[in-house]
Amino acid sequence: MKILVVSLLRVGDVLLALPLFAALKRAHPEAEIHLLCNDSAGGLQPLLPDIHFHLFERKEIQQGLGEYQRPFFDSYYLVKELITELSALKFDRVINLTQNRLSGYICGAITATDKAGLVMSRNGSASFGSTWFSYLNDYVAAGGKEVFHYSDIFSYGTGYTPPNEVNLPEVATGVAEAERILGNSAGPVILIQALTSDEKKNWSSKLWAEALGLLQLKFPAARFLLLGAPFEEDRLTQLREAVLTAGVRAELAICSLPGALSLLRRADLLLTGDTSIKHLASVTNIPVVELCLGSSDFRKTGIYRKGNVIVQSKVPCAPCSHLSACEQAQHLCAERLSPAAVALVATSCLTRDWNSLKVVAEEFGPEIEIFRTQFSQSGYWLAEPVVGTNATATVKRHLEKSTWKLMLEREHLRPLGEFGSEARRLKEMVGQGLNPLKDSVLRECLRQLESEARLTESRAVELIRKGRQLGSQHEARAALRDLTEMLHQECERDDSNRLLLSYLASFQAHGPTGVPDLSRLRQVMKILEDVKCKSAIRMKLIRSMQSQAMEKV
Amino acid sequence: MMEEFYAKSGDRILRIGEKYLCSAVDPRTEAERWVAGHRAKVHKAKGLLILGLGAGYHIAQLRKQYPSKKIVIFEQNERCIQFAERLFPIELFDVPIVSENLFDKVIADPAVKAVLSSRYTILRHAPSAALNEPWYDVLEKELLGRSLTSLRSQLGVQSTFKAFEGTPLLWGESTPIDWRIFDHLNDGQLAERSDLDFFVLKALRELIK
Repeated sequence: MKILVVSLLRVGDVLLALPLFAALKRAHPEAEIHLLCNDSAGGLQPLLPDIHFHLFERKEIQQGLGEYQRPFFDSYYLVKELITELSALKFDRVINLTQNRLSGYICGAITATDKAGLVMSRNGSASFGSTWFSYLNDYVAAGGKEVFHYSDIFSYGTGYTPPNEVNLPEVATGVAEAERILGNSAGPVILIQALTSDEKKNWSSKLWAEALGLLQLKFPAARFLLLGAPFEEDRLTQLREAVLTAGVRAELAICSLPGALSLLRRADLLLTGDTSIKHLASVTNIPVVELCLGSSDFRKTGIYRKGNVIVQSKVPCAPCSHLSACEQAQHLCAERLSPAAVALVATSCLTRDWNSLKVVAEEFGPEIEIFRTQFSQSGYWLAEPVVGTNATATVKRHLEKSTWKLMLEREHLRPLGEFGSEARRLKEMVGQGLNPLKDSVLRECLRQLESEARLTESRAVELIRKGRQLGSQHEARAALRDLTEMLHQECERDDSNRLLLSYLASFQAHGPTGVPDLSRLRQVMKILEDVKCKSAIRMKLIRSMQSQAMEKV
Repeated sequence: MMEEFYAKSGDRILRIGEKYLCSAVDPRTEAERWVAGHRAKVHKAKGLLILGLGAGYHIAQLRKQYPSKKIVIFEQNERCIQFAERLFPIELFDVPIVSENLFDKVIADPAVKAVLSSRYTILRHAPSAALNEPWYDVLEKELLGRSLTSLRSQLGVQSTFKAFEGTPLLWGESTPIDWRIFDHLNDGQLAERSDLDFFVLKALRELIK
């Protein structure tokens, strides 16, 4: 069997697919797994010796398109030869993990028996091959609140359960690099991955210096290594100078990806922004503190491992869009993240004192939120707040995820869906999590959620009725206005409505007849049916959990 | 006036007026360095279009290091051609040398067409190109396909794009061409393309955004 995985974004995005690679290997030990990725991710090859790499020479192709000293058809032949070469390998399955048209067209061109993920067709329509990839395109991209981690989506979307642990072997060159950098270290080694791909996701040098200074006071024998690739050396040198000025003995650790992996296996703590190094750390045991700034969205791309810590400022604009510059007068999310808080969180992780983590979360509660990562019993990754929030909100959050999972796995279409088992897993999760709920509290939460769910279900039916009116010219404008107003109100209740609102925005510019575009209308109606379906699933879960919570009474 | 000499290395070389067409010290080493300097471009291409034959040393070196590459040489000086063919009869045996003046005929030459229909690169042999710089400049522009006229000439050569030969291309004559030139084509005009070509065109357009 031959499988091609397509990941045409950054190195970190390829690393998010590690659980999928492991799941594929587990399910098909004899399969040949191929990866089409940008040439910038080629540095991963030594770490993934079982994967056949095919490099998309993005820079070369774009230069060929834009440089007038290059033959006009150069890039055309480059892409054509690549696709011809891939098609000749006769893949049984192509899995596209990149949600953009470029990858969709390339996957459309490659011959394969089965395709999953975004695939463009000749008539311009997109197919996804799986409810999970449709969900990724429709809901995650539209800014849904309770969304699954990309690694979960990639695996479930392809029909596999992601493993909670992935192993990558070290390579000799990486080990040599790490040993050269580390030398003979006595005290704790703290790695700092300060630079990310986007300035908005970076913490300032001044704040890093302060945080590391506080850590150095607590751990005088600690070594601070500023991690980076060769092309980052100049910027890291500037950071080092700023940190040295504050009295912190920081060193540069410039290395390759294999070198970084070996360092991660030997160091005692990683402090990182949203970077590929964070994803690489997920295959090691190093404790990680992730600073979630700017457009970083830990719900989708947090470190895919249990027991790590994520710190995020409480600012209304987070996470911001990765496509635009920061809209604030100051870099609010970074400045609100206190160096003292980061130092204390790092200390808790180094000393494995999780109780003190709660104390830090409470002390700095007005400015930041601290999360710990784990895997739910239902089989997906999540980041739980260290300090409990409103109980009903907690139960609702888990309920929403389980509802989505059941719907995406089409449990509601099976004669005997897994509602009872899922409800049991949900109950155990909220009863045993970081902030466990007693059965009495759970029963009260479920009562509130049941009445909310009943309201949502009836509103969904009403929305569908109003949606049907949009097809009639006579009532179109009034119906559209009512529908939009209802959806705004319902947004907080059911996340799916965010997507609907984005569709409806396009209806405002419909033609002089007042009737929205029919294909858009069909999409809206489909989503409304999904909302209704989700409501029904949610009710089943609530009732099953209520029944289980009553069992002990 | 063209004269034949011996370089210090003992190899035969050509001089026109005061200009040597290759090194008067060691033309073979010079040719090796010339090929090494173009290695990145040569390695990626299937076909090589060489502007200038000179004394032939650089061609001989290319054939030695890259025997499978399709090579076409552009040279108008008959004396150069005779000299090089005498010096390198085996290396130049099956290499097309194009001397045509009219650019339409250059593009229509079967050997040139064969190279243009895959990834190719254009390499200039400076000493020999200097003998007729204006001709080589225009020739290079035609072979790149980056002006409206040269693109039109090349459309006829590219099997995928032959159907666009007569299609109006909405572009300024003096503006260097990029792939947005096909934007105005509707899906109907692309309908006859094979699946592969259709998707490649769409993918390329995404990369320009």
